[in-house]
Amino acid sequence: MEVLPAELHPHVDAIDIEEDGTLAVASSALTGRTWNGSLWLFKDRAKAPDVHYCSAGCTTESGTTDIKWIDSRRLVLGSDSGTVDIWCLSGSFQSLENMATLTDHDNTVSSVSVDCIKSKIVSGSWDRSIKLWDIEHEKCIKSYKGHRDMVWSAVYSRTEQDLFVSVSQDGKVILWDARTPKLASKLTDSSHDSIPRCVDWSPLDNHLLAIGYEDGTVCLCNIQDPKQPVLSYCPHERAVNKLAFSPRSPEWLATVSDDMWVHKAMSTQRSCEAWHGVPVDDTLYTSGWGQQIFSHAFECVSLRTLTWKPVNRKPRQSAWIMDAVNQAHFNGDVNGASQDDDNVEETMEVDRTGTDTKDRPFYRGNR
Amino acid sequence: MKRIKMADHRVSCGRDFFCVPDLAGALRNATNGGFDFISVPICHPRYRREFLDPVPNRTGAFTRSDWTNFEFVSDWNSLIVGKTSPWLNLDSPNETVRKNSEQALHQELCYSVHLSLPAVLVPLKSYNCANLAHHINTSITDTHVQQVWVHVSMKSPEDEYDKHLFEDEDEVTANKLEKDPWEWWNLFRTICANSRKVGLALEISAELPSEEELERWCGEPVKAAMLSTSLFLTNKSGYPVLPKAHQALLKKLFRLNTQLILTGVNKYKDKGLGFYYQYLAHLYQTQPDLDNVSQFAKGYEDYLQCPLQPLMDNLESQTYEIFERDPIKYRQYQKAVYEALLDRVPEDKKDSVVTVIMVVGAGRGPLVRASLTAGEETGRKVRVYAVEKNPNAVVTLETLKEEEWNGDVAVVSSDMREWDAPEQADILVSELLGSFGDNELSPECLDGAQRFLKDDGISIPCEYTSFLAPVSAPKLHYEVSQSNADTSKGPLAPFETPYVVRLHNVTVLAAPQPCFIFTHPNRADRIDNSRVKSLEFEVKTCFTLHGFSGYFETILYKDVTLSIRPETHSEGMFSWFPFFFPIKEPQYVTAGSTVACHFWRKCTTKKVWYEWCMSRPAPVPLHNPGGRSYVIGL
Repeated sequence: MEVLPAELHPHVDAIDIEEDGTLAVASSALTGRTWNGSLWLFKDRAKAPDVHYCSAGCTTESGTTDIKWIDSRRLVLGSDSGTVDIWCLSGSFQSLENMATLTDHDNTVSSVSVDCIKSKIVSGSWDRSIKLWDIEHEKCIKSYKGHRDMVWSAVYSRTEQDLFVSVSQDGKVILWDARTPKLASKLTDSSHDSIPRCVDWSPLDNHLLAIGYEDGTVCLCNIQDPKQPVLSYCPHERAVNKLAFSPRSPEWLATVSDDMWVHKAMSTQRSCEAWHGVPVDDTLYTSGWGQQIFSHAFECVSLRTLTWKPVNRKPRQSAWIMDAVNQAHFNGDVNGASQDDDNVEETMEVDRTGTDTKDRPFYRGNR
Repeated sequence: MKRIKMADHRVSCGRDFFCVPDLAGALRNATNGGFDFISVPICHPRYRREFLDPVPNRTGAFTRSDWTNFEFVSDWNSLIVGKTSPWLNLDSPNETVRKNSEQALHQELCYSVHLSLPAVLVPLKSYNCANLAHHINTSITDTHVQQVWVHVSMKSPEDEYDKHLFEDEDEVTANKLEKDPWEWWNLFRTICANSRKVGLALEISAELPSEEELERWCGEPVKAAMLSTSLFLTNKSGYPVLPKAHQALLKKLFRLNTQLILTGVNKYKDKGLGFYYQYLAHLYQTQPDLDNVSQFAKGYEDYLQCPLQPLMDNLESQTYEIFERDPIKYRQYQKAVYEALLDRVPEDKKDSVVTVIMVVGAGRGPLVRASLTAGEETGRKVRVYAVEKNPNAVVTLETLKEEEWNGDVAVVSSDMREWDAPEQADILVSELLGSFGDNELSPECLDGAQRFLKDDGISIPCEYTSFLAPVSAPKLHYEVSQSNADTSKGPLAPFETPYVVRLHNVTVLAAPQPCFIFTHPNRADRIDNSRVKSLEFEVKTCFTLHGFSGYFETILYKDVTLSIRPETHSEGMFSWFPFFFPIKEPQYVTAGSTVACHFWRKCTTKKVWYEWCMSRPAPVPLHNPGGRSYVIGL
């Protein structure tokens, strides 16, 4: 294995949190002489991105684009070089070992996602194709050319093992159901003509999707009635790079954008009071340009206007902490919620300095 | 590129990289596989630089520096083709995306100029490309970008995505323009005024389009053909080979000096990329040798020449030299004289009758020689007059008469129209034809010379017909627009002049049709050599019309003919390249429509000229009215 670099690569492309709380970080160098990347694990999330406290790390031959935990030992990584890589924690949990480098894509792999029974991986690529990979046999089992341009993201359903959704530069959101022969159907939202950049499934309702668009819009959409968005709002001025539901409080959706703002919306609660229902230790992690990883926790709540201040960083990726949360804690029917327009939105500034956490009762940024 | 000049001898094939962690490594890797150059992203393809307020305050450079561990600094300007970022979308309806893309494109192009990259690959992904074309056009005029290669796929993604996956086939079919990548390219190229700096990097599809569409692509300036590794099949021995149809296409493209770029991942993990290269090199080596004409024309492809005016100007020795080397033309003339002699003098009279042959425009004597040989072969007695107006050529004629020919030849230094012949001729032999038949004023000359042809005398040639066909020739159109011909005639002059050109990177869009016909001798009471002709062509595919190609066919005598019309071209004859009549404004013509053109041959006592215009699919003004830009002097 190559020598570990002394620090994260500058561009933190992706983060993912395992159920035991271990934070996986994928970073790349997008400038400079060598355009490679690295993969890091932090058992103590709060210490990220300080690699002195990392629990394992390794370099990757090319830049990394996406990272997902398969289980507590294995990770899947999408790469600039078009490979889908499977990494495994070796016996001691101290080092990472490359189990497989799966090649078949003809361009950069933009996203990877693992199905709910941990048997398959779906990868989306700039070669316009989507491929399914068998994790056990480490091989490509299906390749779909359903998009007409680069695929930005393909994400497996949290509950249905053969269901996934993809978004592409061609403007299409496609729902895939591998159980049926005509497996693809377009979830074209006619009301919105921007380009979808990211997508995620609600943990609360397995028919509900959140889609982030190039123009900063976020849409919630029910796959059973895709023509009528459940909700559409525009929290960002620039492209939405990633969005994530809180597994612990699934009514919370976080979005990160090129405009350097992180946005959290409680789009699905019935009233303001519900805000208080958010567990105090719920934490959002975001990453971005310049080796940045932030945690944003909210403890007490008093709605107030935040000062909008652009910061010099650019969150790319968000992930909610995946503590052992009982799914029963989720309350409320999302669809029913839309009858009531009392949506709560809050926008937070990514902490500029990242040093002072105490003075910020609202959201804490630390590094 | 370093290897471009060697393209005649071996294939020039590059390797495309979509991901380049280590540039020197990529170059080494490609060189080891035998590749001649590499194409790599100028900036990291995922690095979306931000230029609009608020600009993030990022430290560091926007890409890797030129300070790499290359063996030679010159590698930058000989071995590296840059690629612009895939996320650039200069025609996005989103203003932020558009403006940011404009700036990022500018940044990348400037950096490519800084590195002196020989070419930059720019992907073209839709018909919606006016702003991209605008910005590229600005950069090729304002900066020192050497070449922009517009990367276009033969098949649109619309045709390539798998429709069987979908339940609902409803999909509002995008209109034809949006579905046909040739339309995208045609728009892009037209916006950039067909500039020489904008070339086509054509991505070859697995399923090739129709023959007409392939022809149309081959009429475009295809600088590079992008070949994906997924196009290759595996042969019996386990090596990559291309399907037959693709081989045929590549051989066509090789003729255009198209370079190749191999894209996609290596499908032969155990073998290495070198085998792809070796196969392509093999394909290049095994292309059939050029025929005589192509060999002769090497270096003259698409090179515009002004038509000769042998009546006004005396030809130079070298010009005669080239024409006399034609292996076909004089053989045919000899055959024509041979047949005419046999017809004219029956076998039983061959010793008593002397046939008078007058070669008008004898030049340095090839037709005299052909006539003498025909006389010998038939056993008929001949007396040959060699009439030539060029006093310099007469020197050669006199010498030949003295050294080779004997008393059978009389050399006459005079213009055939003025010569007072001592006797009437049985056979009048001339080679006054131009590429468009009558354009070197053969009709006027022969009309003047037929005075001394017996009433039952024979003219060789006895008939000639010019032909016209609509052509798409963006390269020629650009060359015409750049030609700084006589400025006193105004800016239109280059477009109102026909050219002689070896048509190469050109698509002829319909079969040529006959235009003007002349027969000799012309026994009409009042000879009128002016002509007018309207022609209509049915066009099968969409294309842009840049002008008309001209050819001729001639009957020398009975079934002895010469032709430069493609369908009937005299094999191996290279004396004439086709004609090209440009039109000033390229005309977009849709599939299935009619091109109607009108051509005039106008004459006065002093000059002859052509005028031309179009009425369908759209009116085009008269070109060269009154001969304001181009005339042939009598």
